[in-house]
Amino acid sequence: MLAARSRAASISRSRRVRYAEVIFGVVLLALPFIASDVFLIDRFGRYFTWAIFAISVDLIWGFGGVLTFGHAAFFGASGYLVAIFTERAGWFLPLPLWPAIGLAVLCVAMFAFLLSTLAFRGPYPMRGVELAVITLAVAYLLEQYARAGGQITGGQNGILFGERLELFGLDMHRGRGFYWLAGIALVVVYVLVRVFVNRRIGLVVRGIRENEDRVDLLGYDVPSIKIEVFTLSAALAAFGGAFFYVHEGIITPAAVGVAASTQVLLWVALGGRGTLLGPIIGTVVLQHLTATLSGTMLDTWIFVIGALLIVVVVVFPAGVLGFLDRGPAR
Amino acid sequence: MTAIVEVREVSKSFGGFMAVHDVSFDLSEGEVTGLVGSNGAGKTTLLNLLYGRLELSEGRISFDGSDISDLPAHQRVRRGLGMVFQHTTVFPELGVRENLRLGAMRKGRGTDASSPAEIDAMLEMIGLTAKQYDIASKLSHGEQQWLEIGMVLLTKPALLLLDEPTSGMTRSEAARMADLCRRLVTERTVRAVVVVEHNIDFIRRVSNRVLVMHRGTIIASGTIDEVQHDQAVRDAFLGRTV
Amino acid sequence: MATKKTRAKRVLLGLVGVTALMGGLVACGGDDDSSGSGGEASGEPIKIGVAADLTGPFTIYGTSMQRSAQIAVDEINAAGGVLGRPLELVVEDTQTDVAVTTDKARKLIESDKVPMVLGPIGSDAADALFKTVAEDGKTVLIYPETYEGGKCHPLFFSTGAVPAQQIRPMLPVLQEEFGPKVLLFGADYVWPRRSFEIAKPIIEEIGGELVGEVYLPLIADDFTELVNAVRDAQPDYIYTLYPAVWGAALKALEDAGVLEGVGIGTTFVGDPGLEGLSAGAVGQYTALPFFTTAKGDGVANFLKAFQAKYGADQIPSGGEGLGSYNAIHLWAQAVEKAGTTDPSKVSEAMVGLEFNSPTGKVTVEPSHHVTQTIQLVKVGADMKHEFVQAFENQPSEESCSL
Repeated sequence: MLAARSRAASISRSRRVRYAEVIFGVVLLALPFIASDVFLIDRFGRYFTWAIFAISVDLIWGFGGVLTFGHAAFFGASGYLVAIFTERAGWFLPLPLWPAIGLAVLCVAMFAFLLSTLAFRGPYPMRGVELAVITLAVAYLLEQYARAGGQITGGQNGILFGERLELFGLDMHRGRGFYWLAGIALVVVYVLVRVFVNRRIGLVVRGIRENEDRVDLLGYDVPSIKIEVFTLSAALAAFGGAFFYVHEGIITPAAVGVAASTQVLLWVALGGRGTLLGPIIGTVVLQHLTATLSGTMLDTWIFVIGALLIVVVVVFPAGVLGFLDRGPAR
Repeated sequence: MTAIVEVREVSKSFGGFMAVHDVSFDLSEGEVTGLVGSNGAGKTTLLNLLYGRLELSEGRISFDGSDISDLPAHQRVRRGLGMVFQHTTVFPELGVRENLRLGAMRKGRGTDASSPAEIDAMLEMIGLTAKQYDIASKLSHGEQQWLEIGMVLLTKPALLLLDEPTSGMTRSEAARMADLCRRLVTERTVRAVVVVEHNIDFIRRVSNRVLVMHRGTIIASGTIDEVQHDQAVRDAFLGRTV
Repeated sequence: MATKKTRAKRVLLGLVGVTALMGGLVACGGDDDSSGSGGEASGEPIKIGVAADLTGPFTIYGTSMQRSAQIAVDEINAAGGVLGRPLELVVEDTQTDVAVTTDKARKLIESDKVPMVLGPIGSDAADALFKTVAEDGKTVLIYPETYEGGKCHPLFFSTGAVPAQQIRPMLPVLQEEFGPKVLLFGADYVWPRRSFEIAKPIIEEIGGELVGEVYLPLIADDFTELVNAVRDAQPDYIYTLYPAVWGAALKALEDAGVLEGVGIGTTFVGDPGLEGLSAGAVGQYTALPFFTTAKGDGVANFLKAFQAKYGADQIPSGGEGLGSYNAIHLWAQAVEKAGTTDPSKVSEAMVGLEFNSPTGKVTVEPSHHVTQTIQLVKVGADMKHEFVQAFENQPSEESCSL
């Protein structure tokens, strides 16, 4: 009798996620064939690279419970590094595109490692608001440096990319090619993070989000785990950023600033923290709505988006796909 | 009986205020020690000093012969301390099984036992098999206490510290808790237990020995009957200073 | 407590909703704004893309640009359109954001398939757009904003002012009034830097003396370096290009008492830029293509048309307003001349064209920049721009050879 009751949870959490994944996968595959407008397809590619960024934030915030106001620093810094590695000369520079991307991601990951080590293990371990403010400061400082960086960062005007996204001889820089490149990158990142959170370490990370002290008092090395997750999250953000900015063709100081960092929080929160799929949907929907509405409703689009955000928050307090994460834990 | 823990001349002051003053005692293998006293006597502070949440102002604590006075909490846990809090600290949005797994999975102990069978057995012991997939926040307070105990027991502690474990429990649940505590020690699942409690019946049922605290010091120790007849204890509880 | 059925329903509803949403986005995004791609039938409008910052810090300039362009379009349509077809603006808000600018520009080019894009404002956005359009090769880009010059591409045109044409007429006036010693003060990026590089030989030519050169971050809050430099160098006048927070810098100089008897010349403060400036701005000179107090019948008519459509208190700003207006007219003329909207043919036809703008004749040079009239104004005691002199037919002196 008791056993039957426990099996009564209709669709288990993991199965729900499976269904959602399948649906999303189908849509992703079908889109380039349904839509004929190449520009639209290219746009979706952009959304996918942003979605990678959103997943990285979901990992550290949605799963890890660590709020960060400066994650765009990683997304944008990667763009800058790729630009510098491919457009500047001296020492071993310039590098070809793909090694530059790899090196950029590595550099950003190392920086994140140092920063999080200082934050979580340093003389003044930081929690919650303190850490969020520090990340804000990092983003702000990076933006200032980018503006003032003269020859290296291109200052106010930033750096133009000469390289195009090419893989195995295929031009994947625009249109359908870029869509597939970004789509595959997104799927790879998604799978990586999904596997990570489903393993034991993922459970501990969620535990840290729920009750960090308890995890510490069960004997886990909490600072190590936080550093690991933070670094991974930064590396993923850097990965997405590299693709995004090479595709954009230009990187400017605003890319690493505060505004970009806070926007992503909106995508993640609205989509559903801790669901991975939610942030993807949140990113795509919000960015697409902004892009299309600002074209047709020149004067009022900003208010429409604002109103929409309020409605969503009221109707779906846990995010639009928040239901994926609720209910019995099977 | 061999001493697992030795507490020597331990004091803790906050600013000018002495919360714990010159406390010394041993915890021995196979013992359940009750820690009683009125509110503000320093019981919780002493417990916090034992598991490492607070730093000693004076004195030292050793565990299995080595000095742990300077070790931070999570290191002490790795050495074999387990702590169950008064204000339940489970993982609210995770499932019951997931809560237990977090206890069982804990690294750094060699016995990294997170096999489903072990979880099933613990669920049975704490009586939550029916609710194993429920979210922890949906459990009653008493059930959460059990969950927390299960979680901590899965870390295979040598010394178990319990802070007001029966708060929020019904009489029958408290009785079950008392039996569990005794069994833990008689079956050598843990080597020693310290229980802070207001519920004297529970203490009577569970402990071999009782320490009575008043105003930061231990004013009596012995069996529950002995301390109840102790003059110092009576004075303290009748309001006369000692 | 949710039963098995209601929970299943909820989940299903959610999944269906998500799918519908995604499908809706595809439909929504695809059809929006990608209207008829320029059919050959007469009466079918010719679309011009406008990449304007209608929100964000550059709202004033983006709005001015879009409105001025609209005035030009209205005039052209009233006179019969271009090749018998009416002009139509497709306006996109680029939100003073470079990433949005590139996205919108691509939309205009690839989705709306416009033969010409007008814009943007900021020079970082201009770099981005220049690259997009140049790579793309399918669209003419006309940049109506004052900028540092140096851009060179068959499909790129600039109708804004460039440094040489502003500096050459202005510096002698300043030297005459205040003296030969000049200090250069600018924001640390390409527009001020290049402007000063161009200014230095001109200063020498007119017998002036460079006594200092100071650069500060675009948005600084500490002007000690500037104040000290002015104090030490004792210039007769300062030529400044500090477009973001000039008011703060001016105040700092004023407060430090180093502005006594020192003249100021700028190449960026349009009429809207006067707002919020302190009293130290009185006597400040600026050289730009347009001010509301500029002389010329055309100016009055232009203002009248602008205010009739947008309100009595609205004005086009100092650079991009007139630049946009001229851009539309020039392009329309070129299309008529070439007989087609094909970008390369229109570009060829543009060179050498003349147009009677509200402030005087504008000629498109082989360098793809324009020779135009530069207005010199001075800030009066009432904190408004007083007309000083108009310099006609100022060449851009750009060395782009195509």
